[in-house]
Amino acid sequence: MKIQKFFLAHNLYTNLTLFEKINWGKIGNALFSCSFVLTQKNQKVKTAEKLSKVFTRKAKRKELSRFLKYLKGSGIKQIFFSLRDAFLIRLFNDNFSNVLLTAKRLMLKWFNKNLAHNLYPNLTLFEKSLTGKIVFSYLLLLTSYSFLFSQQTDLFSYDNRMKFGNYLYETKDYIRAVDEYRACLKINQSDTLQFKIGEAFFEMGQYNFASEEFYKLFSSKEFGYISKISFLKTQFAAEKYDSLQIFQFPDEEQEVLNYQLKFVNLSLMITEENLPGYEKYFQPFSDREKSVLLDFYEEKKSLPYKSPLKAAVFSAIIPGAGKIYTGDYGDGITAFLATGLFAFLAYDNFKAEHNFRAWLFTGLGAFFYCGNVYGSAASAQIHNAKVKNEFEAGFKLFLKNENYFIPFIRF
Amino acid sequence: MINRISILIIILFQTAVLSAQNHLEMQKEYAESLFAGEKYFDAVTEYKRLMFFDENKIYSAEAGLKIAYCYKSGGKFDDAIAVLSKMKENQQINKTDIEIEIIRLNILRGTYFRAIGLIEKLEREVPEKQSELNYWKGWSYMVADEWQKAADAFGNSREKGTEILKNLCISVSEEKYSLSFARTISYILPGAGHFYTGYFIEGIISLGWNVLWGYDVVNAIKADRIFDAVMVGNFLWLRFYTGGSQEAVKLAEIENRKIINEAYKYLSIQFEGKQP
Amino acid sequence: MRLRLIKKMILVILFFTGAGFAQTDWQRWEKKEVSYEKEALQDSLVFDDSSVKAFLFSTLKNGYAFFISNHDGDNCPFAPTCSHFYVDAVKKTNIIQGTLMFADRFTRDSNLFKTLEQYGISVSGKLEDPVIKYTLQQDSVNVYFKSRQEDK
Repeated sequence: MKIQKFFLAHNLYTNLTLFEKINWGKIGNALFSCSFVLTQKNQKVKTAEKLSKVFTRKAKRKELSRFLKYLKGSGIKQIFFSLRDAFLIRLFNDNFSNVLLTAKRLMLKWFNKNLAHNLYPNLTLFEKSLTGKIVFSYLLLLTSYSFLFSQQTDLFSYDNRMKFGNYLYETKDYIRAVDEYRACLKINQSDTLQFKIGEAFFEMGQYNFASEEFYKLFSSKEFGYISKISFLKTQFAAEKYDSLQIFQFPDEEQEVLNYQLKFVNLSLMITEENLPGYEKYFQPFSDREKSVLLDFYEEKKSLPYKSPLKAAVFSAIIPGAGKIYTGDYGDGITAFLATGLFAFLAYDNFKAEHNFRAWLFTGLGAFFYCGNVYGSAASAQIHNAKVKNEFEAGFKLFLKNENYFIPFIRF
Repeated sequence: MINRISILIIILFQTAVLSAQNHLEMQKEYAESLFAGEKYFDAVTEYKRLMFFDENKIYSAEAGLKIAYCYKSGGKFDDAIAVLSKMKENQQINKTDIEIEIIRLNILRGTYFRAIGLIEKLEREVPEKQSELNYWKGWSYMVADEWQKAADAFGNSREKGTEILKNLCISVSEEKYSLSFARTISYILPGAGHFYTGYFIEGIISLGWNVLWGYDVVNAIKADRIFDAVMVGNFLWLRFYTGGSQEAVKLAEIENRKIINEAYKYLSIQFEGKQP
Repeated sequence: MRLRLIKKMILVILFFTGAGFAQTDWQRWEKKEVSYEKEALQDSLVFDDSSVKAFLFSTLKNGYAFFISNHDGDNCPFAPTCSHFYVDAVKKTNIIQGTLMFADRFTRDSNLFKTLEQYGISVSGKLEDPVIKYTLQQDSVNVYFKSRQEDK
């Protein structure tokens, strides 16, 4: 391949004008080095940079400046230089075919129209001398332009990874989304992605990782406030209620401190049996939040706890009454019947002078009686635990639905 | 002059075209290399990436199937079945193949009733696949612990390895202890059920208890203490009598479980035919 | 009252919406070998030799099971059977409290109207009634109910 190209150039060489011959060597060398490298796979970027320097050295600066004046405008000059570098770096990437295919098609289209062929005889000498370079620069611009479109075909580029990561996040495939976002973050720092990583960990329930990720955003401009609040949210969901109270934020932002107070009060609903007064409790909340929380506040104040002591005393007076007080109706009636039955049997046997049997039945009756007293106290505790657990579960679910009073973010 | 330069430029591009590849093809190759290297979680990610960027849906059928295989190899049968069910409407794949794959996943998952239902539905729809469907029916019955029915199903199949499986099923169904037999002989002679399954000490203990309470009851009847006889008979002798037969059945189940676990171990480790 | 209804509705809605989302890929998984083996049905004679007291109690349990209760039939609807419950209760607290717990358990056993809602269902299909519910320590009872909620 290399030999064929060299041969062809040699044939062409004889038909070029003198000006082109003088400059051809330099341009041609640059071209051939490009094509040589193209046939190699997986060239590294360093070679591309070296080659771009070669190209700058080969083309004379004077001719280039003339061409650039011809292009009119400094904007195009900047584009041209950046595109040239980008083109050469891109040249050695594997996913280049579409670029070249498009460029090739466009070039063929251009030449098929034979515009240049018709134009050429009408150009001045100055323009004729520049034509070769104009064509090559145009080619460069063309391929670089199609290179811009080829950005999309690299599936592991920053944009594509972000798109794929967003798709995974939407479909709740959070671990994969986090991997994609982390790969993006290695290339370019982005607070949105960092925050989304934190949210993904939170949704999965991995609160330690989530709080770490939110912590990294404390000093961000856009996401500082929301990440501090989300940090509080993870501490609450992970049930680290002590750290909610004692955590010191680096800045003393009033709103963040207010949110901290809100979360502390919310945690009180779970940890404390006796809530503070109405004014003090609802002080950090807004009116809307107050109205939805009021139901829970009132419910917590009036949860139907049963006292184990009362249950035991009731059971001591009437066997089974304690269990009925706690809500275990079947057990209460059974205990009443059992103790009553044995008491009656004992009484009957005492009357009939069967002493041994009477004492046996007394013993059994006492056994059931004491068991019932103990069981009533235990049953009251079980009832309390059930009530407390149901309230807590409902409260946590409610907060999760409200996203802990944090505004929802649209990405 | 310009034509010559244009020819040169065209040649320049041709060299590049030869060494370049389509990006989607490369992604597919990458994903397949991960799949071959048994890195199934990452392979699923790469196949998902391929499907996401494939706008013309060229690779979606293949990628979907491969994702289902990854989930299958990782033991996530619910996910695999979910992926395959979504792909049933895809025109590019044979629907029967997907149905058979879903049957195999159901066998692996342990939901054998569903597998058998699907097999029967397919038998009505696609009669030409009779042999293969009977093969999977045999597998379903094997996993469902019904070895005689499995042997019958394997008899109707002509796949490779059915002979071995049929013999295995017949031998297992003969080796297994019959639960009803254990229960009946335990009612006739308490402890006989224990001896049948090989638990001699437990059998002697059970026999001993029954003899003890029986002797007590008989003595009580002889001495005309009917109330005592009824009390002992009801609260002690009857409990140990029925308990004995219950225990015999439980022991037979334990022994049967050991037998079928051995058969399953053979199937998963040594058997060389088609597995679900 | 209305609040409880709202909470129940939220739970129902979340159940139906949450059930549709794939959650197994929230942890990395590896290749798994195929195995058709089923769980071995074991006789539960396990000797706990962590301490002398534990060993003695476990010997008591196992001896009672081997000689008597295996041949007695399946008479208890609860998951730790009454006799096992008694041994566990005495091990956890003292003998007097254990006996009281056993008496209470006996009463609850004779209750013909016990429901599934009152207890839970254990792994072996019986009603779950472990010892920690009755030790008169409110904290352990709370923890027990919370762990059951999370398992659901």
